Amino acid sequence: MNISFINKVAIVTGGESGIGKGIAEKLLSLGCLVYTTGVNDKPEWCGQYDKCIYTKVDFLNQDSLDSFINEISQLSKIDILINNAGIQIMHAIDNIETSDWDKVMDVNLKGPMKIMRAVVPVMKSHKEGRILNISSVAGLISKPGQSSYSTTKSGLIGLTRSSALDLATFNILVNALCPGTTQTEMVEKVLNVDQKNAILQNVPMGRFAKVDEIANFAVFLCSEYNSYMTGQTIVVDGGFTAR
Amino acid sequence: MQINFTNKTVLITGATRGIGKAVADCFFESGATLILTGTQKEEIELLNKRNKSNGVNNIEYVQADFSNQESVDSFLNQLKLYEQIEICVNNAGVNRVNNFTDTSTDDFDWIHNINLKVPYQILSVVGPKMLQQGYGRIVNVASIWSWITRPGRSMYTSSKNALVGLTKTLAVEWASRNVLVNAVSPGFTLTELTKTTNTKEQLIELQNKIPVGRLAEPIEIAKLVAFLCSDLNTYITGQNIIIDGGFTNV
Repeated sequence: MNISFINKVAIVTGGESGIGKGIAEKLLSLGCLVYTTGVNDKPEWCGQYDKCIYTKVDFLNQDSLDSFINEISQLSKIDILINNAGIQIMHAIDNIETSDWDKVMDVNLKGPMKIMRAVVPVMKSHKEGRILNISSVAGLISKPGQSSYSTTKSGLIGLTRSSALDLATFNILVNALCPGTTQTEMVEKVLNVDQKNAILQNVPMGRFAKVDEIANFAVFLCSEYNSYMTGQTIVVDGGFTAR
Repeated sequence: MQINFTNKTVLITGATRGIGKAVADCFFESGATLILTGTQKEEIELLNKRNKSNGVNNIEYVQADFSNQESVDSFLNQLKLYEQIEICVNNAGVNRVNNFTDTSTDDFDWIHNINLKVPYQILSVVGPKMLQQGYGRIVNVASIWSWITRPGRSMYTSSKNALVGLTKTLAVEWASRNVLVNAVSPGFTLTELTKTTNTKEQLIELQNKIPVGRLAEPIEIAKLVAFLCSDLNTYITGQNIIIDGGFTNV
């Protein structure tokens, strides 16, 4: 079984670093043309691929997002959409600033919806498409301080389920992927050693996911090897939520 | 990105037809060494003879009747003799649709023996080998009826839910030893059995209930099983993955 993306076009949001970068690079290495986004200037890794097209997009700024959406809706072909961009703001429920809540909603849930809305007509015209929404184990379980983040990640699962039904007869498959804690630059930055060890105690595999391990399955789901799974939420977490 | 099973010994139960056969074909194409079970003695002999005359030496068909404990025991003894088994796909299963008040203890035993006890017994033999190797991939083929249910399916649904429970617990127990355990739950699949037990009209009626508008081909299920058993999967464990064309979403 050989998975290839030659002649395929993908959009991967939030490709600057972490899981998004891992997925984008994997697709690129398999021959895909990849449009990716980030909040900063074009990252160095993207410049190493001829087929990597980077757009600076701030999902918190509707004009910036709309201009990107306008750009991609002009494309004649989009085979794959991976909604990966996301933010997290920690706050207890009795301490949420409405503006923070709105930010998390805008980036994690409204952004993916708007992009899907723009991409679907292009996919429909080819009667083929694969959409993958990167949710999180926080969409299924939670921890203190995560109410806005968990809400959006659960919301993405609902968006996935329902849009899968809207699109099933067009050969557009929509799934969600819930990674467990993944070894990314952000996790390195945000969690101290004690916090990491506390999480690891509850991960049966005894280690965090590597970006590549999430990317492998994301890419499989978006390949021609997945032709029947749709509306599903698949957890890649080393057994974390099974316990 | 390649899925390759060279130097991997793979056990697949119920592999002479349907989803099991598609899984076996998929692994064979990717270079696996296969141990495949089937119930019919004549068929197994014929398949082994055919492979021998075609010079295929990496497939061994083994006859085992999972409804017969003696046959199961003899199969398990045979299984113990294998030095290495890296991958195990528990696919063999049976179903008998009956309203609960019409079910008998025999129905319960027959379905649970084949769908649950045999996988348990196989894993009792194969699991320790995997733990010793520090490598293993197990996929238990459950069903959408492990997730939802319908009237008449109490026995089957019970057995498939239990199989998923076994899957999750083994996943948690064995994760740190690099033995990953998952379940795959197919929806309606166009197997020989489905084709022969449904009229054309019934098949069309069934199709209309599935969001993607068609049944799964066995190979579509097989590809997911192959991915989960491959070296591309190193972190998915304890999952029950549903592949049903959207059916359980409605």
